[in-house]
Amino acid sequence: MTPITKPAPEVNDLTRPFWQAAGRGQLRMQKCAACGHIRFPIGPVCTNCLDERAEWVQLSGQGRVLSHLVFHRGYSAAWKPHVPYSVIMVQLDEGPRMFSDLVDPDRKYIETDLVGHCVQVWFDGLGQDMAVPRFKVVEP
Amino acid sequence: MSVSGRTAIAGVGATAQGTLSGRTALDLGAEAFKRALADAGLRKQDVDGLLTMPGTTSPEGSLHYLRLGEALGINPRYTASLTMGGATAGCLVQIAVMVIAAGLATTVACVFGDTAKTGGVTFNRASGGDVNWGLWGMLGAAANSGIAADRHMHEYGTTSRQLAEVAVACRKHASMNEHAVMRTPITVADHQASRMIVRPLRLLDCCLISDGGVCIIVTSAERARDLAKPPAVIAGVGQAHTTMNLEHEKWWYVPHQKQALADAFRMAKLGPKDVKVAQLYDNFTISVILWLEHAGFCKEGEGGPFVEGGRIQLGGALPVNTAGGNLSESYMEGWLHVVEGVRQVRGECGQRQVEDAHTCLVTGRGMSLNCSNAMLLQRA
Repeated sequence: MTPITKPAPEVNDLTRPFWQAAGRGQLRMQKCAACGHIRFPIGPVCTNCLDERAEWVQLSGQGRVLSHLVFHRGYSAAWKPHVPYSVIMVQLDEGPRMFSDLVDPDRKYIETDLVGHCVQVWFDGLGQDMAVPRFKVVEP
Repeated sequence: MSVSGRTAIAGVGATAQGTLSGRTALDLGAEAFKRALADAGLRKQDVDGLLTMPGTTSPEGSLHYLRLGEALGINPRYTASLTMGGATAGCLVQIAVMVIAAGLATTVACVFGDTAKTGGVTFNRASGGDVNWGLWGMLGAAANSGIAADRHMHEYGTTSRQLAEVAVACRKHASMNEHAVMRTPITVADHQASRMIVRPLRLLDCCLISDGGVCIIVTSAERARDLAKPPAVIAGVGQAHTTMNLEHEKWWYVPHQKQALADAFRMAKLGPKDVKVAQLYDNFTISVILWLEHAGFCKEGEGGPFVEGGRIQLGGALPVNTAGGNLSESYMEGWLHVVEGVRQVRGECGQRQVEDAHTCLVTGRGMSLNCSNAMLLQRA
């Protein structure tokens, strides 16, 4: 059990299952019970059909990098110590997209262009009540 | 019923720009209002509509219309405040057009003032709602435009040197504008040597942060003809927005801008070939390239090559941001783009005047990539 290393999420009733699943080492998102659409960001109704019913389904945690930014400037006190750091837009295999900082403690990928690379979810705070999903590069 | 040609911008006013120690958002708005009244040859009593944008340093927030109205001593028939970042100026002008066409007011002042520079505002917000992107370090205005630039580079081969061409053109134009904040010309090499902010965006890809105030007065085209300055007739307007980010497959490309532009062109019965000069919202250099593609000045993906060879500089085929834009004139979140559009169609821009500038396109974009609008101004 390790504590979350970066800013902790603000949790509410709607989003709690996402963070709790991450604490158990699972990436879960809402799948609409009516039309099957998996949505992200987390929302009260399906963005496709507006149905309220949803199941928190487990995703593979695998995806590809759609875009790769490198922040040389820290825009908050929490992130200033981490510059330069990479943020990636991830296309998850199941359809949804999300942003993540890249888990890259040795700054191996700061000078690389990761677009198209495969990434895998990693859980910051695994084993705690809640954790934050972040992504790391799948080494070839 | 189309509102094409029924209204006009009769007066514009801008304060000094830049670092204005001791000034407040409220007093800058008030000064801009007085300047626009004088420009139009109107009296305060003639203004019966007040639309405002709260500055980032306006403590009143969404109640800004009340405080500014009180400060100006106005009891408007119609009033509201709108917070849509860089899309606010254009969207407020469009509200003014609708209000006047509907008979709810005859003369509408749109006002903005801010002290973002001396107020230390860093535009460091993150997008996202319940699950805020800042949790993953995705913070600040450069982040989302960085995605736009990065994707554009990957899909179309656009280069950082092409982004530099936009910065160089804006700075060249600012060097010819005595009111601009950044007036020393720059080269592509200067841009390439400037420090990285959020890769792929460098310092010289980013707009300024500024203090200042701007006011735009809209009235009927008929009334505008009798006022002090030649009217800038509002020939066409359009706006389009997306509230979806991650779920919008090509969100980064801001495709809704195409709709805003197409609506404006259709209303005005004009096309890109009719545009002699353009003021395109430039929070970051990449935004100009996207506008050029969306407006049909070039094909999708060809905005990079289009800006090469001085094509968007004065003397080029399509001069863009002739006062220097957000990148070099001042960051008034697009308000000065409208002002410059008016001044170009009036023909009062001196050494930076575009010859025969009878039609000017003005665009706005705000809330990162989400809100967009377009307006075609014409000489009466």
